[in-house]
Amino acid sequence: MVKLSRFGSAELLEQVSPYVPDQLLRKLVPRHEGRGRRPVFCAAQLFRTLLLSALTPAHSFNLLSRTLQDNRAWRRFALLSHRDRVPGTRILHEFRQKLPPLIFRQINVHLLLPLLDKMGPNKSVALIDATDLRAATNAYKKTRPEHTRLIAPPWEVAA
Amino acid sequence: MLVPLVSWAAPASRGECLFLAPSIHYCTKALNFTPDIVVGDMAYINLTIQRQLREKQNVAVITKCRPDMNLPEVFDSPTKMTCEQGQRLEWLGLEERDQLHWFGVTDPQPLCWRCWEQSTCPKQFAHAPKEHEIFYGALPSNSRVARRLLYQCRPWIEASQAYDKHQLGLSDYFLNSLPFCWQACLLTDTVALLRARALLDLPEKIEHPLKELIPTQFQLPLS
Repeated sequence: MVKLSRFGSAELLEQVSPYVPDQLLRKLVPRHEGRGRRPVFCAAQLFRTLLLSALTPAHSFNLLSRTLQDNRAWRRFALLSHRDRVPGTRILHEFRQKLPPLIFRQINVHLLLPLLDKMGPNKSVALIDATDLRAATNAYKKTRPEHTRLIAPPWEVAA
Repeated sequence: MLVPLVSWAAPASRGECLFLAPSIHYCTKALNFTPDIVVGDMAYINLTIQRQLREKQNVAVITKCRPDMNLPEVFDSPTKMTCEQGQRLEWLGLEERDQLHWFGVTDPQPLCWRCWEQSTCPKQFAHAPKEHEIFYGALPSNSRVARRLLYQCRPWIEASQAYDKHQLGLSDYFLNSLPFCWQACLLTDTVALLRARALLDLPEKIEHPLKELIPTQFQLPLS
């Protein structure tokens, strides 16, 4: 049976690293080219650092930016060569603000298409389910669905 | 292997069923892929949507039936269909042209030859999918495929969601806004997809099935 390396290990990061779509990320979130100082980190580096927050036990940006300096395997995954030049919490937050769900969706579609191509001619089965996540907000509590502010245009449903 | 196709983040006041048709529509539009069968829990029961998906997109939506639902006369339980005299009937298949499901006796030792109605019995019975979307639908609830999908495959998703939630720390995030919740959910999908891609490309190691039990100093080559 084929198994991936342990969660959070350097081996897992090495196994996963070649599949991060760096080119696509650079295209989707281009580097700022106006007046002012040139950004130090490109979109691929920052997105890989975001991925580290899910792939490692350091889930908070504060902890992540502090740990990155000491962990060479993590820096190698995030394409950060210099020990002292790692993205700080503010940069990570600002980068995350720039990523609407649409960009995440495009990245996921890019990763998903080769998997779908590998499917054989058999009938395909999809499982659908919902799970709850504890919210740290009361903004949606006891509100009717129609009063919830939409963050994107209403979805077009096939009629 | 399970891979996430599409995820939605919404306040808990939104019904789950609202996302069934858009999810399939998204798969068709963005991925150029439409699943043939969708297996959901009782929260996804909506006979109108299920019928629309079956008729327009040829997607079979399979759900368990609610305990308070009235069973059609021929069903003794949601997975057991019998004739008037009590002989079990199995699904034989769907006739595409007439859009009729056919049910008949597959039991090797049926009770039919002792039945007093044997001479007038048609032996095979047809029901249209639109009679009831859950019991007949695109895949009848008493078919072996539907039973297997509902009771064997369906529980996989709960385990995989729990794994992602806890292993990737989704439940540890401080989710104080809906946009952030979207990002956390979609980032989790990205990680799951990356892991799936890496896993599929890993070379398969052929190991001895009792590797864990074999002592490390198994051989003693003295020559």
